[in-house]
Amino acid sequence: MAAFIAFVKQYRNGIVIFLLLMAAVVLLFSVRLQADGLRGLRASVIELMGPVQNVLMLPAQVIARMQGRIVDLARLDTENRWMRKELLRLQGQEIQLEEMRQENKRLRELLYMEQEPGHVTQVARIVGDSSPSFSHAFLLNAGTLRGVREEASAISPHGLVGRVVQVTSHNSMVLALTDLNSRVPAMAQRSRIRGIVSGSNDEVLQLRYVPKDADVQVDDVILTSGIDGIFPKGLLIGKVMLVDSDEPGLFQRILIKPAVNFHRLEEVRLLLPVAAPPAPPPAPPAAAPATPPGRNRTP
Amino acid sequence: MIVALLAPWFPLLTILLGMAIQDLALPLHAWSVLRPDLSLICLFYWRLYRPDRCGPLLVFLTGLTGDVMGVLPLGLHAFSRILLIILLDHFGSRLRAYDFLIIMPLLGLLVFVEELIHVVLLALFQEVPLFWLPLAGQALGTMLAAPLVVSGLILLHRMLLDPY
Repeated sequence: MAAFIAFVKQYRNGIVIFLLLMAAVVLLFSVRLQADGLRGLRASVIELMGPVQNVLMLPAQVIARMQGRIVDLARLDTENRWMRKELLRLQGQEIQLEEMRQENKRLRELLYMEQEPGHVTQVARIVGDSSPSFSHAFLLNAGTLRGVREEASAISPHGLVGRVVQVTSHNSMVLALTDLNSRVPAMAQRSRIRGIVSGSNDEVLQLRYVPKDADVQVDDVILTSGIDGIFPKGLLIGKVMLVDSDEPGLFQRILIKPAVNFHRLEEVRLLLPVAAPPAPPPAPPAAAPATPPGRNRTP
Repeated sequence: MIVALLAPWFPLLTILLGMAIQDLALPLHAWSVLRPDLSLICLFYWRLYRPDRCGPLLVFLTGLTGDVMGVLPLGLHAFSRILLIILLDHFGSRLRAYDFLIIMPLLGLLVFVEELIHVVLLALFQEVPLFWLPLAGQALGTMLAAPLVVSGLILLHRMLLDPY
């Protein structure tokens, strides 16, 4: 017995390890994974370790949330950049659309203008404007290739614009009513008094050569008279805004406000006179009645 | 006062804490592959440097706790860890002569050996598919985490355990 105790004392550590190893083997082979007792033990361990793990998970969860937030921010940043680009692109498109809408409206107005008898029309876009200089003229993008000729009248839905003074194959120049060199035979719609509308490189026109006793009043509508053979009769020029009979000389001083706003013109319609149809060939002389035989043919 | 009371239990507490941490469900793919065996690092350290505070019974009980937490057959970790401390006891005096950084690869080897013991034991009960990537990953993860964990344990050992 004493020897046994001495043996145990000497190899205590080894014996304990051996016993524990055996205990582990016994447990491995005897305890089923789903045993009821084991289930209770497992529940207890989980009860103990669960809160610890919950606390330990907090920093991990915070870091994971921060990581998610950073990823979200990066994604948002990318989206934001993309949307800014898209916004710029759409803003450009919106401006373009608005421009096209307005152009469409103007062209529609030009399209539905009354047709001038004896004329065909050609719509042209104003591509140049020399208004700021000493003359008031517009460069159009239509020339002889589109049938434009000199002296063609340029009109807008609001009234007369001017006439073509120079044509090239692809462009033409329109002299505006307001130009100093512009002269248009005109008449007052109400009283049919005639005169010449001239420009003065200003925003108003003058109706010249109207006698002092002629009946012209403020707000009278002034139309083309058509006597020059260039402008068709009855095109709207503007309205009388000032009548001054006290002017020295034979004629009244009459100022006209043009119906067209020359600053906002973008397209015009050109009235191109239709060439007169060729004269019909002379009728063949009527066939001479058959002379009876024996008749003298001499007159 | 509290530290003095807790001091003898630091090895057990650190092993349990290691178990709790290594079983955390971190939402990282790397964590599922390179999950370090923190409890084994703690056990290795305490058994090597303070075997008086990390006896076979404590190792056995923490092994059982690991089995319960991992829903493994009861006695699996207990068995393998008792085997490991036999190895440690045998080579302990030699290992203590080296710097811990040098014996760090040994930790990876121990983890690998422990996992192989588990595979062999489990194969006695059921057919166990052998996935080498998690095995190697856990060994590698343990080696990588060991310097940090051991630094903490050394600090704890010198500041809190040694004075008592």
